Amino acid sequence: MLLGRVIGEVWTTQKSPALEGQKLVLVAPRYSYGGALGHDHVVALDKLGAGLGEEVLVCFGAAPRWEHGGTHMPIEAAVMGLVDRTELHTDDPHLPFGLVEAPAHRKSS
Amino acid sequence: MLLGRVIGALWGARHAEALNGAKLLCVAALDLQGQPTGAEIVAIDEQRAGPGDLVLVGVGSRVRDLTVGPTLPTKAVILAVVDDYEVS
Repeated sequence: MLLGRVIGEVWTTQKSPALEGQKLVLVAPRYSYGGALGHDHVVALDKLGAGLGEEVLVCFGAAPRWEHGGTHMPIEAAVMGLVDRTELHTDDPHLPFGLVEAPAHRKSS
Repeated sequence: MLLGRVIGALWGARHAEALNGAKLLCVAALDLQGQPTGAEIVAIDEQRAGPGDLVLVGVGSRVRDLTVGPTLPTKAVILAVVDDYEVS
């Protein structure tokens, strides 16, 4: 799962039939597991009507496929939540676009 | 799913039997500025994409199963030819 910001939209005409009528958004990851994504964007299916600039939760793998149209949707990423609020235990203004470390008091001793 | 640009086609006279008739394209992954990131991937194409086209690439075995079928020995599939995208 990834927390990111919707920064754009993708339009296609020629596409896999299962993607017909589906909205695709561009999401820039805000917090991710280090380099797990290794990319500055991900294209995700959006059925929640996420707006430009909105913070969203993106899920990967089979779960979004089940959520959106059973098993026949050839996608691997979808917007699964619109984020109302994020609480982050840090004062570092640069952290939000990098790796988020667990707060000191939560780190295992 | 990622944005990429088709940079060429790929042919192999000798290939796995399961790849018979499959169209393979080389796709360069793009960053949000539309510049290649340096990463390249070979993807199966059923969307009639050609060199220079902006495409949406899905990666994963289930994505492949649901588009080109489970017998193709690849995980990267071109899902759509992108008309346009907007970044703000």
